[in-house]
Amino acid sequence: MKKNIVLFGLLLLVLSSCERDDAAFEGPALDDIYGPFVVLQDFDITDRSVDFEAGETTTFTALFSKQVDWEVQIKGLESGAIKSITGFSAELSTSNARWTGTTTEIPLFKEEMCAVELRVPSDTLVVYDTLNVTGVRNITGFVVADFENGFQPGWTGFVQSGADMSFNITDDIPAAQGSKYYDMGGAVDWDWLIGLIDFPATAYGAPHFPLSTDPANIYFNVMLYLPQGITNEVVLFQFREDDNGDNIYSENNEDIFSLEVKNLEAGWHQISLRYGDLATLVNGAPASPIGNGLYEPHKLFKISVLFLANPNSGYSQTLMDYLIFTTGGPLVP
Amino acid sequence: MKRIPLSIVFLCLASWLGAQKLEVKEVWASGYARSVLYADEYFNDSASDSTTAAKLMSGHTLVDLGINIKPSDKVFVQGMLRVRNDHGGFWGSGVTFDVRNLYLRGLIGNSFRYQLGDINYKLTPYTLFNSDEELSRYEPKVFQLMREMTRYDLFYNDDNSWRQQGATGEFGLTFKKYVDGVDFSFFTSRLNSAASTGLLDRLHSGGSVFVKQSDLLDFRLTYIDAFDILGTSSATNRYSNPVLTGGIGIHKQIQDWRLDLETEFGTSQEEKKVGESSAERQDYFSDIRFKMRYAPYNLSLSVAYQDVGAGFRSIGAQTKRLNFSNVPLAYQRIGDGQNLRPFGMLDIIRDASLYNTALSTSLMSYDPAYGNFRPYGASTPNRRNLILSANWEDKKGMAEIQVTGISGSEIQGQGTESIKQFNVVDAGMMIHMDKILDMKKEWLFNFGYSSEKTQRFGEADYEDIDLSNQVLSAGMEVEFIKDFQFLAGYRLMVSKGNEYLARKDLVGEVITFTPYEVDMQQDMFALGVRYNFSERSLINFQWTNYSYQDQLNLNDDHRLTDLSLIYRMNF
Repeated sequence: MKKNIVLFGLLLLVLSSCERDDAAFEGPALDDIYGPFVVLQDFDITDRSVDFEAGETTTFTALFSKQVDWEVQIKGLESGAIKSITGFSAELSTSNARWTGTTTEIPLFKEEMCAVELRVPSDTLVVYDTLNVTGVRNITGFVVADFENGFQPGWTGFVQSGADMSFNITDDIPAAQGSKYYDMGGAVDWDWLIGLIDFPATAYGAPHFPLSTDPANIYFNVMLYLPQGITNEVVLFQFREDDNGDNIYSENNEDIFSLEVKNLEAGWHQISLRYGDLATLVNGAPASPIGNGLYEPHKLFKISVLFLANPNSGYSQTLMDYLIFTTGGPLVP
Repeated sequence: MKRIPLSIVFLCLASWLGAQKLEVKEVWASGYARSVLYADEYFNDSASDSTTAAKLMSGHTLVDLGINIKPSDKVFVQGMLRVRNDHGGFWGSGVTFDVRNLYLRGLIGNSFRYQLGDINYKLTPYTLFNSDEELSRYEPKVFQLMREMTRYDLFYNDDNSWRQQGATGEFGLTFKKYVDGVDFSFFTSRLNSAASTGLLDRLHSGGSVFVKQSDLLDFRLTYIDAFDILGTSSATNRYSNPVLTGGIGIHKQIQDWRLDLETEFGTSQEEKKVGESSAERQDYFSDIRFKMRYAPYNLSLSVAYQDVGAGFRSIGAQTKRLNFSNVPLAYQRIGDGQNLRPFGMLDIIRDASLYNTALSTSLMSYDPAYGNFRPYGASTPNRRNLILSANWEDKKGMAEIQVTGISGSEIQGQGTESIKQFNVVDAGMMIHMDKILDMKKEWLFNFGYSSEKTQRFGEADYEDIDLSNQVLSAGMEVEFIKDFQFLAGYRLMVSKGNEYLARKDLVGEVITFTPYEVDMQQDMFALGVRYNFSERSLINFQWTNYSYQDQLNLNDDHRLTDLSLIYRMNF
């Protein structure tokens, strides 16, 4: 019997050496779900004058008594840009409420004063504050056009002699980026084409655009604005490649890839597409490639932007800004 | 069960029999048959309901025809077909054919027993054990017939084994010195088929070694694992759940006292990956049970201590029979809004569609009103219990009484450091009036009562939990003419209070707790007459009245009455 008791004791000893999760409790704290909401540490901004261009960031901080859904919204008082940071937590800190100068709703932020709001919907808490952006963040990529310095040498345009034509650079409304944009508008009742603008690579000092060879890694980005009431706009982007490398584009022999944009909603929109996803279009319909059929961004010869509308549909207008090629992903505004 | 045309099965069986004709030593048929007719009537006194049909009839006739073949002394084959005809089927349109049973078993060298095909297998309550469903204790006989049919359809056997498809093997060794004998048993079964689910093939395998050193001392070692076989599909989901347990049994007879110490200790691991989410758990349990039996008074006393960690997972032991996500077949929607009817006591005993037959890799959902203390059986995780029980049986068999008291608690809090306390009282009594009054015909009365209290007191009001569940049962069976029985039974279930339900993500991590409140009462009363043709066949006619009342949701209140005629036979 003694032997049995020893065996039994040994078993208990083995068992007592087992490990067990020593967390105080399982799951989220009930306090976080059902406890009262109290602001333990007031809302604050670590850097109220932030220079994103110099690599600075700013963090919003607050501490609550429980986990809640919260939203920090920053609105550019001049540009109208909006950045929204949301989360579900009891604390706002560097890990979940840091602003690097990006935008949620374009336009992009400018050097401007911004209004800041903290909202906790479950408690109707709203805190207002301000901060000053003294430098906008640098965006990496090849900028085709931002229209800040007017119509550049080498760019060419064509405008039909229709009614109310407005192919010009202006700043009537807040631009998507900077302060200026390109306004394309008019009514042409005999042709789909209202006007166009060409951006040849030669305008940038080389026969081809300085892009890498990987079409899966190159993204074309542009910002378009549709005024209220316009429904007939068609913006066609054409990308001509110098397939044979002779620094000349041969119509009907070399590739021309396209991106057609229409049926936009009112306001600014960012359009981004991977270069390798561009299509060959003939009269708006997909077609076989005209040239070698290879996507060769490093052989991009010319970009054309054609503004079109059904000739029976009357006046049309679209604003355009910030044509930029990015690498590795679409433009993060 | 796979559905295949009956003609093909019979052709295959016939051709196989033809081919084996010269060698077959024995062939015989066995099976089960029943015919069931339910006439339900629906009442709703609490809410206007001009939409739900007041009366509903349903029923079926089925035959399970088993062909037993013994081609040699050491091989046995059974194939069982189920032919079922739902009443109201027209020209055979309601007829279904299923393969219910298909297995082969035999003996190799007079020592190794095996079975292939459909297997019923169990190990220990912490490794592979099909725990009883809710509200099944102290059941009056008048309710038992419907439950028996439901359990039969679902392969829920009295030994709490799980029906699976796979293979088993067992053999034993005896020794002259030191050890009396060693028994080995093992099994493997297939839980997932990559071909039909797109997931990885999943096996469930394990076994046990039982070492009987002497009448005084024995040991048991059990191992079981549910695991995916990589490469059987392109799925990236993964699961594994090894459980290792061991135990010692010490037994002693001291004069009229029989003393038994039975123990089981073990650990589990669980690794689960679903999509981008993954979780790993490991924990242990211990179960120590000391029993004393005093033979002169037929009195048994036991005390047990259980500690099952919050992270202990064992799918073979924790899978529930009742699937609380299911909805009842009869009167599925009620009220003018045609809302889903909550299932209750009547559905639990007669509706097989509410049950589950596959092992679940997640802790299945449950309704605290039906039992909050051990929803996953003995291996319910996160419990530390002290269990006292007593059992007494009159020497002449006139009465039996059993009483159990449990004081338990959580080991780890749920969303708070405060832990829940459980107090359970469970008592049952059977009175054999025929023996008390020295009558020849059997008169039995049985009573059962169980009370379960869950409480938690936290620092804040919203942490508090106070849930009370009570079930009262009473039944009688009176033989008034030879083989004719009058049956009556009553069951009352009351649940009131509050709890929190843990909501979990795909890998079982708690993501939130939702408040649960209940103030519900169900009762069921039945009267019936039964004629027993023999021990194996009977005909039963009964009237059952079932009532569901929910003080927090009056639209769910309803009452059902059911007239049933059931003929059942085994052959």
